Amino acid sequence: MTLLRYLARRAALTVFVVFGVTLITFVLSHVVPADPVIAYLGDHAPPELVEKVRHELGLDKPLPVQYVLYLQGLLHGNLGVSIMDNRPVSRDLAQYLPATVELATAAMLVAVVIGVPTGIVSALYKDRWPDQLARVFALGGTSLPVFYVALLLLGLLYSKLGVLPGPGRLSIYTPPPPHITGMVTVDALLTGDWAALIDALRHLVLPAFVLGYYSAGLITRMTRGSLLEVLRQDYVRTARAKGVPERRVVLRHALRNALLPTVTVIGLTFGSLLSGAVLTETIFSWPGIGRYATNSVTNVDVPAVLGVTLVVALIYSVVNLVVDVLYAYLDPQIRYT
Amino acid sequence: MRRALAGLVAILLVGVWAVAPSGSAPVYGPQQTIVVARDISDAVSLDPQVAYEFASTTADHQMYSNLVAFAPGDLTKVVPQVAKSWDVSADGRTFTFHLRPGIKFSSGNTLTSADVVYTFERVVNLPKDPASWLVTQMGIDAKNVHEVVRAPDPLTVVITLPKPFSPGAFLSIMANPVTGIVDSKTVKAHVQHDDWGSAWLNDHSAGSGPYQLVKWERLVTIELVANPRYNLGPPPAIKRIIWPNIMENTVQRDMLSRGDADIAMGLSASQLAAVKQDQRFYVYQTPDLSMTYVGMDVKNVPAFAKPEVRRAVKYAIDYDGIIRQLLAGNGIPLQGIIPKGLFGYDPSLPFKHDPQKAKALLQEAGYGNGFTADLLASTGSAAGGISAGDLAAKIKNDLAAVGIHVNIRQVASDELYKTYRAQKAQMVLANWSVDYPDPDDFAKPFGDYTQKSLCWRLQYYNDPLAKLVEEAGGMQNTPQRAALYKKINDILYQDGPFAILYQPLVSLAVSKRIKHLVFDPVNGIDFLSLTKQ
Repeated sequence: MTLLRYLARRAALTVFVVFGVTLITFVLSHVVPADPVIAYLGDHAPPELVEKVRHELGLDKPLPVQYVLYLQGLLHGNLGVSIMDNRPVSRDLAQYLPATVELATAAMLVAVVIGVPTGIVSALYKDRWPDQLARVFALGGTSLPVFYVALLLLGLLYSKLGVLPGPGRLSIYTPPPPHITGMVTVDALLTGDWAALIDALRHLVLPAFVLGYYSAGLITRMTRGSLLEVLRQDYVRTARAKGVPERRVVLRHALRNALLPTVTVIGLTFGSLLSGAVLTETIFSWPGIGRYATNSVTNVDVPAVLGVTLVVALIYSVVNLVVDVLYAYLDPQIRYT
Repeated sequence: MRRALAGLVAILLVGVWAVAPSGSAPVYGPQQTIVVARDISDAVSLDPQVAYEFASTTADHQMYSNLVAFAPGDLTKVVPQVAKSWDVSADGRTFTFHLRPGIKFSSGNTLTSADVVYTFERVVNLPKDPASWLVTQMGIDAKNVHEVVRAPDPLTVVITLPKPFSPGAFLSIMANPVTGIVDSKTVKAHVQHDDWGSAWLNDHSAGSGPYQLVKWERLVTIELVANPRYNLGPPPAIKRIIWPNIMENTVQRDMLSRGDADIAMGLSASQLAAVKQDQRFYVYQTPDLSMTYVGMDVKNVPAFAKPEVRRAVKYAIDYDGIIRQLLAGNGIPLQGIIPKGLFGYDPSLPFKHDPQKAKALLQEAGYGNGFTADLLASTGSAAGGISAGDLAAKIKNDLAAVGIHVNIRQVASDELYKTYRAQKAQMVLANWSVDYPDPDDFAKPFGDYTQKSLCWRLQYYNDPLAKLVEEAGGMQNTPQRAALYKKINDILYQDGPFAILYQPLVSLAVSKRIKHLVFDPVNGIDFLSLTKQ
């Protein structure tokens, strides 16, 4: 099967998945014993106001009718109006998604730049002190709770030592660059605002590290295990026997094969990072969709919950697709079936 | 060669980092800027007629002026603001406000009675408006607003209430951000899709207050700057107010100690204790206009139908333990329904922790062997910086000591309210806070079941009490009114379904650079009088 046919089939599958996801989410949201109207109006609202607003929001219609209306809106690109924000869900997502993309990409970069070399070193120096150190580091990443690491590093590097700035994407006294993509670093780069770019990057360091630490731990362990496995293979022995320098054996022959499982992990981790990281976002005041998703669930804001679920389902589908295609590209033995 | 290049790039990057300026020169520097670190994620709208959450009403209070106001720190008396004086008719139903001439909006337009009328039109017409009930409860709606609110000339506004309503409550609602006066010419020019300009008001302000909106970025920041056209008073020394959204109180504390924030609102009891020890800061505390209580449904639990049992619960509770140990002092004793700071506050504490008396009362009522009830509590925090779960556990312990077996059911607050409002709770642990600083705002929910508020939710229908509440509501702040509220409190002590636990304190952690800070739960921080070194 050619690449194009494969992509078309996957796209059709994605539509199906997304439809199923919205249905399940819709049903679950209405099973929850909380009232979105009271969540929005507050507990002081008299019963008459609650019923009036319930009607204004269309929430007194029968559930199947509400779902059909939602789907109709969806077909026209209308994701509904967020109850808690009182504005279109699409506007909410357009505001919060770029911040998450920025943070997730930075975190992924940190994870790869730290994780892969550490994994390689760990494999090459197996059981010696660099390996032990790397494994402790990886263990910390996968086991320490993210909010703990975040508060610890903030307390040390910001509060005590002052070498890194505090929460937020920019310092209070830095005027933000004009809004083009919504990602402050990219917008600053595009408009040549170097002061804002430096400030934004400085603010990105800590949250990106905190968020990427878990993935870095995972990637380190995957790379180490995979490389060790590959280094035992016959063709590696043959290459060494041929007199190829060790560095070339590792970097040119072994690594390429060893990285295959790591690529999968990187892809899936990126997908999960893109769906938002509410704890990191809360602590660093990063206005991403993780925080938005949590708020919408707490407030039983059904349009917002559906909107976020839709976006995340789409992100995962696309990421999975990219990983599968990449895998096939890297490993000629894999064919699309 | 490649390595040398890599090294050079690395050095360059580090160099740029080191010399990076913190930002281009701002118009107003740190000396004229106040940064208040708190959680502003609850803000839904900055439209003053719609804003109902703490973060949004705080900001609107600085940007919009009202007919009348409360002097910062004194919530018992209404003072002139946009209205320089007002007359009240003999029957207390017609209010004639005489406006100050020449008040300017931030746009430069002059404030007239037409703007006041437009403000009221917006309140009663805007859909999905959480704050609207503050005005509509007085019988004002979209159909009658033009008869109720009239502007006979540009400097006079006459409001004739369609039904009897407490004059004190009415005036305090006129001081509430929901009636913050908007610049009708500007707002009308920005109406989109019949929204009365509401969407535009989320990113721009159109008021006559001392500050105007620079920007509101949801979940990020609310930023205000001094309104250059403000002429209701002298210009403020502080030119810029920023509320960055800091949801985690540890981070608030970090920002405070680095000097990146001047004030932190939201520190826990233990963090406040640590701040008190730090020479660079002080803690400003004032009683909040709210109270935490345990509600008992008089029908869903047969035992609670007996007033002796309700009294037994009130004797069983260890009030001191809650305030001293659980709250670490972040609350004051309160057993009445009107909090300290309002007219009608009753400092008496008729119930001391007395488990023997409680058991005797239960015996008298025929429940000597105790009984069982479910206590609904939220999964979040209770007022005063403690978790609702901890407070519920304490109540459970106290009641177990007298034979009442309590099952704690912790649920998300939305679920709690849904059950409570549907009259389906057995016992509930909840908090009630002020909407407008008139005793009627508390007496009605707690005492008048016809309002379908708190006592109605607990199915406590007391007609004589409801009549007393209505009568007291219609009075001005006289000794007779105080006597009525004393009577209302006495009835609720002995017979009511509420065990009032404490009145929480609002605590601000403040840098010593900030002087002349005044804060009250209605006006918030008084930015006009504070100064920064």
